[in-house]
Amino acid sequence: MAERIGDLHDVIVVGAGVVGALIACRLREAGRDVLILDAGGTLPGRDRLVENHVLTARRSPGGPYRAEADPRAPSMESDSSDVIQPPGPPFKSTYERMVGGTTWHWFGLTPRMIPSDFRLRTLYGRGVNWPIDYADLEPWYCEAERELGVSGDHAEQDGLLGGFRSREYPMTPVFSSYSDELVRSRIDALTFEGIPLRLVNTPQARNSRPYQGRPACAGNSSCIPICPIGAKYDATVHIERFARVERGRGELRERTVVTRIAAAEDGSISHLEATPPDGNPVELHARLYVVAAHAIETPRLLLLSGLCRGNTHVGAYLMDHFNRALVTTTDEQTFPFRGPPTTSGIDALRDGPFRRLSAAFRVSLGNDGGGRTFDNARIIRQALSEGRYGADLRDTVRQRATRLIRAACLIEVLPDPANRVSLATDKDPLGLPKARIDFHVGDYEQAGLDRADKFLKTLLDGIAPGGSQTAQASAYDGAGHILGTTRMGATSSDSVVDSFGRVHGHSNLFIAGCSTFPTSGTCNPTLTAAALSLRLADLLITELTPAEVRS
Amino acid sequence: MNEWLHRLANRIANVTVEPTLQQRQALEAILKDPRRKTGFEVVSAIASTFDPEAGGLSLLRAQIRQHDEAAVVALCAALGALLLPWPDAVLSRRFRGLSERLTGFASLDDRLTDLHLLRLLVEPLGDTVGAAIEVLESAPEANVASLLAQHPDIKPVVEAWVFQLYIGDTPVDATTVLPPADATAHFGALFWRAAEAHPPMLAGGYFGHWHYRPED
Amino acid sequence: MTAQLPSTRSELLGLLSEACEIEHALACVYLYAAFSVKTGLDEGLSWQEQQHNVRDASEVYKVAAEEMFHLAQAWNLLTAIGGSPWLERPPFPRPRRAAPLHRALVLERWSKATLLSFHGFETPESPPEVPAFKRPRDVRGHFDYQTVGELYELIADGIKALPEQELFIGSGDAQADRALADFHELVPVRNRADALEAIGRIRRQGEGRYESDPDSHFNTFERLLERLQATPDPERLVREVASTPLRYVDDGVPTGATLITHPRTLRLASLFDDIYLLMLQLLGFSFAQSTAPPALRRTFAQRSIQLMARCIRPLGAALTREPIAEDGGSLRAGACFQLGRVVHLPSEPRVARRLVRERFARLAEAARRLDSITHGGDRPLLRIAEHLASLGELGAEA
Repeated sequence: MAERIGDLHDVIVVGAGVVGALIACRLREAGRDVLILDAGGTLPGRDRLVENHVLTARRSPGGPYRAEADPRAPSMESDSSDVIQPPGPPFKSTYERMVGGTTWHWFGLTPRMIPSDFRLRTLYGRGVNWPIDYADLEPWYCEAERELGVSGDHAEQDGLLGGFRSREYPMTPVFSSYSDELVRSRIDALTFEGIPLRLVNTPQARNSRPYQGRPACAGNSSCIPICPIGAKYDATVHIERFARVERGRGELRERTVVTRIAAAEDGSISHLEATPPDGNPVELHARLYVVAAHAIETPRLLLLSGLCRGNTHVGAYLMDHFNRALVTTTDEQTFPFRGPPTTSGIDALRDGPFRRLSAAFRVSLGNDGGGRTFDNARIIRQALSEGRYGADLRDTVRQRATRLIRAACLIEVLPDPANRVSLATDKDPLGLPKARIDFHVGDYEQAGLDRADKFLKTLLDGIAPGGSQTAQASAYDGAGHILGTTRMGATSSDSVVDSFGRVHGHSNLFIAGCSTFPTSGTCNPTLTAAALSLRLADLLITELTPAEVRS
Repeated sequence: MNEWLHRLANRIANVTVEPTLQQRQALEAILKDPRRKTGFEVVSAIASTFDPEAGGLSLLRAQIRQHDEAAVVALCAALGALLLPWPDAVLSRRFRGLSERLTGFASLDDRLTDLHLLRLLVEPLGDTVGAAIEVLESAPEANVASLLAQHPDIKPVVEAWVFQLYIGDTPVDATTVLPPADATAHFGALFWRAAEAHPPMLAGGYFGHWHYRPED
Repeated sequence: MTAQLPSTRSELLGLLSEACEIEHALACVYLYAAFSVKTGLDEGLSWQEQQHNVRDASEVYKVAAEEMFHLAQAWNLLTAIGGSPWLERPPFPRPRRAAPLHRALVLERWSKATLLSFHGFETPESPPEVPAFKRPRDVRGHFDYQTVGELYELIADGIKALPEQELFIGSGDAQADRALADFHELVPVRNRADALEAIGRIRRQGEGRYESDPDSHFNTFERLLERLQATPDPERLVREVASTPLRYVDDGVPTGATLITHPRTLRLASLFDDIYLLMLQLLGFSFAQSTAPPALRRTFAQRSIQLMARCIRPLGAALTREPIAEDGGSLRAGACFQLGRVVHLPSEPRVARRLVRERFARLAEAARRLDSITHGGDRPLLRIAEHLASLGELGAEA
């Protein structure tokens, strides 16, 4: 029998990633009593994380964090069996289970979804419509940009693909890179399928000046896997702010794994069961509950708890974005490996009639040489195989390493009920069924991937004619955008939550984050998730305010 | 990898020089580091017994998780580097001088080149480091590629030597590398200087510098 | 605090020129300290120390860049009310008695004392323990101010007090915007509202919006000081750089300054100052010459900023590794920022282009000659020469 711990909180937030941290902070600043639970722990200082990444053989986004991970936390690395996937093209994206969540190693890109992304069904007969549209969310986008600290070009983004902006960005744009300017000078003459191409500065949660006590970006060029100086936003910003708020009450409990959400007969949530670090289960009580545990653990928790009985959509519609990249050598020097790994992109292909037939995509230009498509060591190996040493070697490396450009497409994925998170029969270290992922690439996405390949070739042939091109070895890479598994909609016949995230049939339970997305859209999802979270937080504040005070 | 580990363990087992106080302290610090917990038992077994046949290797196989294997191997390399005698000033100077000749970069930091020398000595190719130094010094003006064509036995270690200095990692085969034992190797890697950039995770200097051509 | 408000255009122009001098001087002072920080593993740093040093220096470079932005903004303000960009500033060292701000302006290496003085420059208000400094009545102007913030408050008060239509007589076309130079927050000033917005931006960056504003220069230096105070043996992390190095003196070496006597260092320092002057002249032309072709103004502004990024910084840092004295010793030099005669580029575009090309070519040649007498290393002077040569190609649009 779990031990009941503490008072009745106003809100318990499960998950101390960006979404949970934003909500918890907002609620506490409104004078509320908030408890945050996270299955992972607080990480050590950034120097140590930097060192971890150098010393590990696996230089993946999780490189700095592996050595710090809670042993009970599932790993989604390709060789791990913590999450079960049947054989076949796997679901490739991973997430982190620790305080601050996956924002520790996110790219930091914060474009907004475009109005069409919310109305895919109506416009193109594909996917579904969101129960809200861009205009509903716009004020919250502005709020999210302020909270995260986004640098962007207001004039350039206002009206882009129909997305109006009601406020300027908090910070002016992050400077474009030297190679962006080279591309800009060559891209004006290019079109793809009749669509003119234009380079646009990428809005990003990366400081272009000191912001809220964090320094301006100094070009450490390692946003993934870590920003050593904190110029890139990560959720520890709001976790630390949460701890400093002098209103309300707030507590963060780390390494506390929620194992069950208990519901009463009427569907209202009575308490959470959790396992703290000492292993002795506890019960935790609140008036309202918010699950912000990302899109694998959130549906898993609902399924483990037997909630949303009869709702077949729990865990369904798992989405990601696919990445396709192409690297080319160039005639002129581009001087990559400097500044943020991307500073500009092309938005022109995010929308259009083609979306009836194939997935749309957003294009990023890379400042990172070959990125993960092309191993820098190859340049050294090649030069050594040519018998180059001394000044000849140095000059050859200089010649080759300074003449690279990478371009990548972020390709949308449609919601498909067969792509889903469910419970496996295997058990995890706590004795709970592991998550199982079933995922396949559909025709729409494949058409998008093929079109992206064609586009990348057109682009790089146009920018660097005659350059030697290297494509990524895999058919696709995941983008780390795990979406859709508890999607929003009007009723339980087609969704798990309403447009605020309230779970159908469980009036005091809310879900926040990317798992509520009905469609993937054509851009990185974190800003949208943050906007939705702030919108939810305001609703929660209203719900917690006594009716007589509200009126 | 099995063979590599066996040879490494042999090298450690064959050490006859007593570790210095500095080496012992560094070794203790490594063993106490909780980040090393995955390989802790393994490494302490090797360190205490110095006898690969007394269960050290079987412990290695039994206790590491697959994705930590290379990290444990790198740790063993660090351990080996600590237990071997620190190169004397003469060897250190010769290695540094040749490193400058091989890489085309002048004024290399001697702490960095010492780290790389130790790492090479610990690696299976370590047996040929001495021979490589002798051959290269015997013909200071010769084209290195031609020299290596005449002395193919030292070619692998010379290539590994240059690779390490440029990339920081140690090559194991045509596609596999091992991480360094000390992050200094990453931050001193010459590839980034050649590329007129900076090692990832080190700041490039100031906001916006990436918009302009590099200084140098 | 303030005896009276500025009540004429002339007084405002004078105060804005003082603002230019202060922003300009602060940029140099901050850069000098940032240049002195060790950044290489080959300087005996551990990789962690290197991380921290480069990070801390980057924050000060950002502050210096913002001071340059303040200078550019002050130039826009000057141009808007009938003045023109003021490029000059009093030489270093600037002793306390001769300067406002109750602080000396000197070039010092990175240290706790240096950061404390930086902290003081950006203070929102006079610290109570510092006695009020009163400028003698017979020195130009008669306005009292203790901080940069107070100076801008005086300027803002003057702008509010003077009739708007009569005050803003400069041509709108003369105003520089972000399309001209890479100052994304630059406000073209055409009226009182623009002017007050511009001053507001400067003050927000410097003093902050409120005392505890974490993003102000004031609190940036506060944080850097805290870090320095927590660092054991901070001296080891900084190059042993002289205070206010000078290439020449007119009448004895002022107190607190150091004369460079090493011949090669002297030539290197001269090259730096020549590049620095050219950088100022190029930027000044682009802001002042409202009737010059826009493409030329933009090219000159871009060249100026490129000089900062590609030549000023590496040379400034390189000078901190050069010996100051011919007779040996461990003391290193640093950039002098000695301006001498500040002559504006000619206003006629054709002549200005010719002059600028010649200057770049001469400076490139000087760098190449210096490279030939500098031995070893990666030949940074050769790279500087290459940068100067390529920047001197002004292109068809100019």
